Amino acid sequence: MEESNNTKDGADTRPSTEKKEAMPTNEKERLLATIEAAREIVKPTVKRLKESESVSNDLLSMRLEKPAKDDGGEL
Amino acid sequence: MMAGNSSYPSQSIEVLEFPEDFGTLLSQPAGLVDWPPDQVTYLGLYLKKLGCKSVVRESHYIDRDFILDHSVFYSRSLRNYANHCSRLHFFACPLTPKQWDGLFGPVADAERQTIAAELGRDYLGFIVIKPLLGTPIGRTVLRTYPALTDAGSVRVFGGTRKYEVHLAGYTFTVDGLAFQQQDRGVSACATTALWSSLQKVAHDEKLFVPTPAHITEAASRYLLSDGRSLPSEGLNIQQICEAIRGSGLQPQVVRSISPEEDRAQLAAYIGSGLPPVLAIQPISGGQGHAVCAVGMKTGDLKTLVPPPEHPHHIRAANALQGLYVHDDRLGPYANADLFSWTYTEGGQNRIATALQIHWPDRTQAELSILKALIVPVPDKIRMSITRILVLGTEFAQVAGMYFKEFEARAILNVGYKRGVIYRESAFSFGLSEPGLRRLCCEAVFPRFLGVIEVSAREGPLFDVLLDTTETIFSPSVLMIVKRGALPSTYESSLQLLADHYGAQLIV
Repeated sequence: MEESNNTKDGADTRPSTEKKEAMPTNEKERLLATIEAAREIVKPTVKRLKESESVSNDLLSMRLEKPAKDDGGEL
Repeated sequence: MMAGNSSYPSQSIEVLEFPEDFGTLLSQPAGLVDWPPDQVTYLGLYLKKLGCKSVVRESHYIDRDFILDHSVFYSRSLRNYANHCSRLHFFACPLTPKQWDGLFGPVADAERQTIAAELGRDYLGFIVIKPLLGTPIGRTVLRTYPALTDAGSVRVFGGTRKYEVHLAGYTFTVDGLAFQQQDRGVSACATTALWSSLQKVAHDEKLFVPTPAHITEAASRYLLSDGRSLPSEGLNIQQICEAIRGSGLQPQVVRSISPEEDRAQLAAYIGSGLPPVLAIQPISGGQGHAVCAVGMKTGDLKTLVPPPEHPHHIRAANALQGLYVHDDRLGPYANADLFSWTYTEGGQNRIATALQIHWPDRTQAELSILKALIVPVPDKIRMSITRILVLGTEFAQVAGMYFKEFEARAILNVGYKRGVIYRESAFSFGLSEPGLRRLCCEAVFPRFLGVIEVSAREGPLFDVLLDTTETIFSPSVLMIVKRGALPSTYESSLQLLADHYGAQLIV
């Protein structure tokens, strides 16, 4: 027999954190549709973010050696 | 027969008033015309800003970093470089030689402790003075600027840590991050920037904190693009990565993409206590340069509006106005304004992130373009901030579209947090008793969590916790944790979101 959290009168005795309150189907659909729409909207942002992970050999070879006293500039 | 000097050294401690001209605390080496170095002038200005009133000088101080660098490089020079340094301590209160002597007089222990505690409150930090000609500034740990600017911006120094300082039997502490000047012998700018970053990350991970000479050697052990390793003529980004791996950490290289993306990366890494090394290119041309980003300055979130690319949420990082960087040509916590810079490349206009690094008195500045962030991260972190941001963007967009009360004004903040620290902070979230018990007693967390915080002006709405030992964010969502500002009517929506991402919901 499967374990149940329901008492004989049908009340759910699980802690509130485990209860899955019934969500109206239309509300559920609205949220799932929002997730899909949100994904579509942020696609260009996500694409740009992912570009930061592609590191070229040119960048990896960039030398960082500015001396303390530079002949050309003031700081 | 020549007798060597095998006697033990002794030292003297001197108490001085903070001088008008900071350079007078150091003696000008014979034959050196260009004196004092910029770093000495900068430090004088910075200490003045901190309100320094008095100085205590220790004449003989063995500095771990210098004595190891000495053994690798300076001990083999013809010139007889000493293996010890001197050290200057700074206090924000007036201190006379008589008051100092009183610390060692016949006073009761309780009174001595009171005096030490008062002195400790005014302790601003120290500078190690190396016995090197022209490059005397060694390990320097100074207190940061206060948390608020005069204009009301907020300063956050995520890259700092606590240093314990021992002086004449008294122990003081200072929150800061070590800085030192490049000496062009064992270190150039990239070495010292990475050394500063590792002072935080390697220390927090209980790893050996390498000295500049160790870093230069590790960087060039397998990869020497040109020339010799010592004296150091600088490193390339690949060599910096090699040195990070050599210290037991992993390098995360982030290419600069656009001002908004760069701000998000900078805020996330600095806010997570992982100070990044910034590879920058001066606009005037010339060689690339490296600095270590220790802190940030943020403005008012209320003034921000969502950009057209994600019209229902903003990133908290968009309020980032500037950084505080350790620039070895200047000094610690140099103020760097952040802004967009348009330039033409291949006939196309591009927008880059520019940094303008200022002197404390704002008389001089240099403009550079950000090229990349190189971040030493603990080995256990496999998920990059980029990937956390990608998922965070989705969640914040959903929140700004679905929760009507917060429409188009959800705020996204991401970062890494230690599991233990997150659990400790959860006690103030206002969770239910079963929810708190599940989060604190039943959940198993990795050492580092990826945390996506979605909030509004009213406060945090919910957190998404990710397992950073995974490489991609899906299916790595461990939990969604409801926070106080989200009405409980949305619990079922959060449950659906949690189910959708295969996570537990904690309310």
